[in-house]
Amino acid sequence: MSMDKMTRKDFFASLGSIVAGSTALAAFPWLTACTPEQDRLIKGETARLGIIGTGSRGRFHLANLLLDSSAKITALCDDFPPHLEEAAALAPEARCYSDYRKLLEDPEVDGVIICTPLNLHARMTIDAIVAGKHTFVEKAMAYTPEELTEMCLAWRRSDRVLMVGQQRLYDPKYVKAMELVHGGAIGEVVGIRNYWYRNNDWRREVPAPEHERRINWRLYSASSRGLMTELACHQLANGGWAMGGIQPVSVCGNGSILFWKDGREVFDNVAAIFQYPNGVNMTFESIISNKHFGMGEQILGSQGTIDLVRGVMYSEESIPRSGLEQLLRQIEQGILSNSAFAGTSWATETASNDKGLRFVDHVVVNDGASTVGATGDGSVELMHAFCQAVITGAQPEKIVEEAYWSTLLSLLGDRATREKTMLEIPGGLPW
Amino acid sequence: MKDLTIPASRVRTELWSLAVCFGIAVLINLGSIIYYHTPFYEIFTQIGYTVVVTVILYVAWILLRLLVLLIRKAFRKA
Repeated sequence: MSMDKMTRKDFFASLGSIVAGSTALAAFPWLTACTPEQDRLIKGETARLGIIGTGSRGRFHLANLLLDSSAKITALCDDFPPHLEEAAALAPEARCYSDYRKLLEDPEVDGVIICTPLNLHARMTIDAIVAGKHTFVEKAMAYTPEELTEMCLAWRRSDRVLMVGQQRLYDPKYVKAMELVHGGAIGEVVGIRNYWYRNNDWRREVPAPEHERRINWRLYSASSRGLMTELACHQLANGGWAMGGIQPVSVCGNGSILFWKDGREVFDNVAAIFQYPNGVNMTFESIISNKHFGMGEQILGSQGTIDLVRGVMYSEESIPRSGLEQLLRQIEQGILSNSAFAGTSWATETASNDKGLRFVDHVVVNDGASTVGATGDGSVELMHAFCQAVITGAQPEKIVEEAYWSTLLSLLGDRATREKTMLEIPGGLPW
Repeated sequence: MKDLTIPASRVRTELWSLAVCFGIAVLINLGSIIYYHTPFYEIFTQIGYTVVVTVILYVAWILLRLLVLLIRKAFRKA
């Protein structure tokens, strides 16, 4: 059995055990479209796919798809020959193009996977949909809110599938976590924390100086919105899930080029605060010159905390102690404490040592250091779901809405950090 | 080196002392269970802490007797 099949089997198994009777599944309707039953229905059929953009992320998807029996790579496209050659070596039967419009004219392509720089997403996605191709576009969806709206409207006018590269949507532990949140396990949601720390310059090796902006497009403002669209976009969906679909109404932020002063134009550290209508704040912080805390996503409740990345829930109640332990602790405190100086208002409230309760078995913990994609982060499942959707032509429910909000929040977050101002977030979908 | 002889009566006294200390430790555990409203099975599950309290009480008892002995000696000399 191939590795991907094992992974998918595990995914279905863990998903099945988690979502059976889950009240939170209503918030994750796209998962009901990716099932073993669906696999049986489309058995023997393949999605003929073309990949536009065969850089690191494109090749990551290509490698996963080559292991997926429901996918057939029929075309590849990149205007940077070394990347195209590397991809072609992995999929020698695929036709190669240097112009994506030529690929879109290829009748043997049912669906396209767009893994190009952010500023190209909108044009390519709209062209692909208009050309009648089912489309998967990497996150963030768009470079501007206006482009985002145009993409969504183009999709709404068509009968094609549109999916976006947000792999957390297919990570079962998020379903279980949200079931706990919505079931009241952590009480009232009082805060949402997201952070992503790395210690690397985010650069890729450049064969010649003239390719700098093409290869390191993430570092330049003409093609990228930096950390907000590349990293925050993944994490900002957590807030909507935890808050029952309610989206933030405002965002403020700050950022700077602090450490990597190498000619880049996007910030190497950002901090943004999104506020919900009821006053709850969701934070996102990213620094790429310190990796100690790695990647983290936490839902803070009045009675507990959920660590989404590790799949662990912590209680606000102190760890239950035996009567004898409590007595000894009280005696110890009576002997050692000095009432003149050790009043509670002086005591530092250090973090809890509670080891918490793991709510999902076999959690794959990623530290967020990979700049391409990590094992077990939902990417394989997401690609398989796209193959299913291409074969059936059925749009997974609410997936574009999720991507719309994540992208809009990250774009407005980026603007707030650049303008150092507070922005209002428009409510409602544009369609 | 001179052989030390511990009479059977001394051994018996010390064993009784240890048993009394253990009994007191169990009673302390029981008292704390009642006071802090914790489950009664802690009588068994907290046996480790009970043994620690037993040792503390026994050492305290030894120190107390040593102190009394020293005070007595001091008075005798005087």
